Amino acid sequence: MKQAILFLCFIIAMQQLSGQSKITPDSISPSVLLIDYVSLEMMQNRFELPYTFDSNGMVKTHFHAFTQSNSLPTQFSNAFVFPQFIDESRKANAYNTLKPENRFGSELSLEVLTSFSPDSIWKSQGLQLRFGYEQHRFIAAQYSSDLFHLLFGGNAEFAGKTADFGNTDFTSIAYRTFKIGMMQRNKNSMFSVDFGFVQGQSFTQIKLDEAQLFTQEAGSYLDLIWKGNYYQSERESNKFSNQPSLGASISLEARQSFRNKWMFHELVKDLGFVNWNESTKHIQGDTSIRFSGIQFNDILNFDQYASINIGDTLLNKVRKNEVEGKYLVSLPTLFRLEAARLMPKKFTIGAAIQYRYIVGYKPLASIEIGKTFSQLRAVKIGFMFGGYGGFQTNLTCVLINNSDHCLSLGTCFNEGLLSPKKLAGAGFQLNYQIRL
Amino acid sequence: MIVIRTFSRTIIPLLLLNLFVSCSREDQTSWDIDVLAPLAETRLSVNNLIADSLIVSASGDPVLIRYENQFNLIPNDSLYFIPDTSFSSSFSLPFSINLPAGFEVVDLSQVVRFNYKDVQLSEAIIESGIANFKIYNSISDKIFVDYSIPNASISGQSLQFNNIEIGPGSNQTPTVFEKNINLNGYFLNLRGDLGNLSNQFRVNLNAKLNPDGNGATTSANLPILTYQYNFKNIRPYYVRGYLGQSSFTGNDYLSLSEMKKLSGIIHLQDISLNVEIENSIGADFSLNFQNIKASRNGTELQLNHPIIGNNQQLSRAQHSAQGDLPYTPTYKNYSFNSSNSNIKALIELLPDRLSFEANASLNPLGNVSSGNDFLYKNSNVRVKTTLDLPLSFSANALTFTDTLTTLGIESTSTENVLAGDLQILATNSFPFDLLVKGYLLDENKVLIDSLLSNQTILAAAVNDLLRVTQSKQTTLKVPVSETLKLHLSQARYIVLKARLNTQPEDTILPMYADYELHLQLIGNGKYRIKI
Repeated sequence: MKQAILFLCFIIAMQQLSGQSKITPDSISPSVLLIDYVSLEMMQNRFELPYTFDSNGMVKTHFHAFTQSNSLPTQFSNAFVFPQFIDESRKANAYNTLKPENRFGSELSLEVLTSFSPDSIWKSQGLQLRFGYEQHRFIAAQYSSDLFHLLFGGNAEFAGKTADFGNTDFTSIAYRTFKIGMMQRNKNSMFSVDFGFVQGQSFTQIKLDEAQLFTQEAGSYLDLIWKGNYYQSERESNKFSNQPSLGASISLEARQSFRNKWMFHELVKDLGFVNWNESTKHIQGDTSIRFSGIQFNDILNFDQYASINIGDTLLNKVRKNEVEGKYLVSLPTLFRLEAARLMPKKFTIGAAIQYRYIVGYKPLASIEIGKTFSQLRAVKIGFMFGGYGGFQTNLTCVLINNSDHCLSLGTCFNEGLLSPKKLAGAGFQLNYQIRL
Repeated sequence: MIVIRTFSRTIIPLLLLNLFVSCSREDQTSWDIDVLAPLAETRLSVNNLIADSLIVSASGDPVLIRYENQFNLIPNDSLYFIPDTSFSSSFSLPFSINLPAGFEVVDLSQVVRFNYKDVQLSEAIIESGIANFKIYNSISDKIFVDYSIPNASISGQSLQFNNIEIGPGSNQTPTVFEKNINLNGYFLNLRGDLGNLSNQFRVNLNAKLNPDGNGATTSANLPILTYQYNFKNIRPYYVRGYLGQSSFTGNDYLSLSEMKKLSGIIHLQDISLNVEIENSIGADFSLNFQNIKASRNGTELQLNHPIIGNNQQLSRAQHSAQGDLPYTPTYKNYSFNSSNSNIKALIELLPDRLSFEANASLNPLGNVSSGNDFLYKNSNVRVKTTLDLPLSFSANALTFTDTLTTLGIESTSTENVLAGDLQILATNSFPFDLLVKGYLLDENKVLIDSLLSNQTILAAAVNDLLRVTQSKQTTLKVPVSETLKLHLSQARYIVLKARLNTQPEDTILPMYADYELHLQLIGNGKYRIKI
């Protein structure tokens, strides 16, 4: 994050030193000023420059990374993003913000998309061919307060008590997509369809319908009751030596503008699946286990050649029913609807609702206000509610915007913008487009 | 603008790369948790301390341990062997002569005798062995040979081979005929022609020149026919006769290796040692137990009993079938207990072995059976010893010591343990206190640390019937320190010592199979998780 802020300052300074950028009226589309028409898929805003977005010969890159929770302080989740020790005060802050039902999400995505119109074939720049490569990692969880205490505080505080962590969902999925598609651009609308060839890289899913852990007061035994499923792909299923985990996806996008005042944007991204390979481990449990320590038998066997018989660990007991097999998983598809209007004095106002098909994600509603300055640089601030967290805010700046380049940076502050101590999520996004 | 363009084409890709790199984990996210959990457990019952095969008591009864051993007084093959026997002979003429067709070259009937000192065998059934028969023909025409052992028979048929054709040979290159006869199952009558001798049988050999040939010329003083017999590796299944007089000394011991790890003072309930002698040989014996003694670390204690050192007569087995056996063994039993011997003192010595040495004399009165001794392959004089040891005792500072070897408890398994205690939760249903100590030794067996000093696992209380009905729980603390972790990684030997005192004192208490010591190692401390 520190690097991003430094970079932001650097860019602004460079812009001030560079003088005018090249802007030509022909390159400006009707939606130029509606700076939020490609708002970020997630709670972050994705601020791209519209007049170059659909142009022929465009290479577009997008990167975003964020964590978000309805209860987890940013300071806490940052310890995982920027590895560090989680001390007791951080844990205490996190305990204070826990809710009966807690959600957490983290996304890391890199996308590169190029589009061009081969004149000899299409005879029109309105129809473009698109190729893209995307890399995604999603971690999402829904958990109880007891589970959080158990994971980060240990079970000692539950001595003589039961920790209840039923209704727990956890998904971690990473995949890459090679995309090919087409886009039809008209004067006031565009429509695109992209087909994706998906390669799964890693996948973990834990779904506990019921789960309880009782710690005997003196610690002489643990009683674990659980009902649920656990899936785990190979550690590195993208290795060439392994049987690949493959899938397919389709993405659809449409945009319409009316009278240079209104714009509507519809998006379905990564509607598809990954078929995780035969080495995917699966444990289905509906059982109770009492663990009173790893059993050591025959420790005083007088036969010098006898070996001590060692029993199962608690983990081994849980994994007794482990099987391997293929597992079909749907991708965390994003659905988004958005409307925006150009207001006087180069202000824009937009509203959107989006949903991602992943555990713990609630429909995200957002309102965003933008202001465009000279040389089409712009600033936008948004207010959102939903997603992996609760109330959030975000800020996006378009730093460079000319006929060749468009660079925007954005971040989200969530609750922290208003009350820093209650930050419950943070993120960062970067978009860069270059016209070849 | 040039600056911007340059920036766009160089710095931005570098920035993107840098962002990805900074997401890679150069360090680890970590946090501490307070753990209270059982780590390991073990249960020690009588069944863990003593092999199941040794426990013979019925369920619900006090534990009775039975040690059994058996050994043969007569070494294998020392009585019933038949020595390898061979002989050969050549036939020649002092002058040259033209032998006519059909001439009888050899007509031999020879007695084969087995060499024994005073054994007089009259019959035998062979289990395995070979009779090798070889003839060298130096005559220039073929010969026909008849060969027989009339006193060797199987299924009523005597051993014989007729008209064995052997091709023509010469003095330089005689034609050789060889036959190996498997004697398995043959009955040998060793009484001689008149039936009043022993250890001998007759072999007949007849060789004729080819009756349809033209005869043959022999050279003076050169062998015209040579033959060889060889009886080898003959093992009888059964012999009969007079087995002679000889003496045998046998010794063996009952291993009580469990006692090795015990030391201290113990008072036991009654003990009985039973010695059973089984004679399955059809001959009388005189038996003498020279000594029965207990030994531990060089200390020995001899059993005192009237039979020790005195000859005991052991009657012969009867030659009448019993079950699957073709004979009926005779038995003699000797019982040693607290009232007739000092056997209790022997066992209270906590010996690691109980040794037996006995001498047996065969046919001490000579040939009283008139040559009707008999011996089967598996016959012997067997000594079976049975020691019944009720596990009922009173112990005062009885110490159990065991040494475990280890490659060290590596620091990787303990490095994330920050602080705290290990507890041992002991649930004891034995009626004795246990003072448990552990010592860590390095590779030179030098003491480097100790565990569990002066902490006693308390005894369970007994009722009026001297029976424990409720177990007793004790918690022992094992502080974890960096020093201990270091010493655990350096330890190559762990010496465990458990000193036990029965409660109440000076009362002999029976132990039951359902008594057990349940030990749980419980971790109660701070653990660092790193991801």
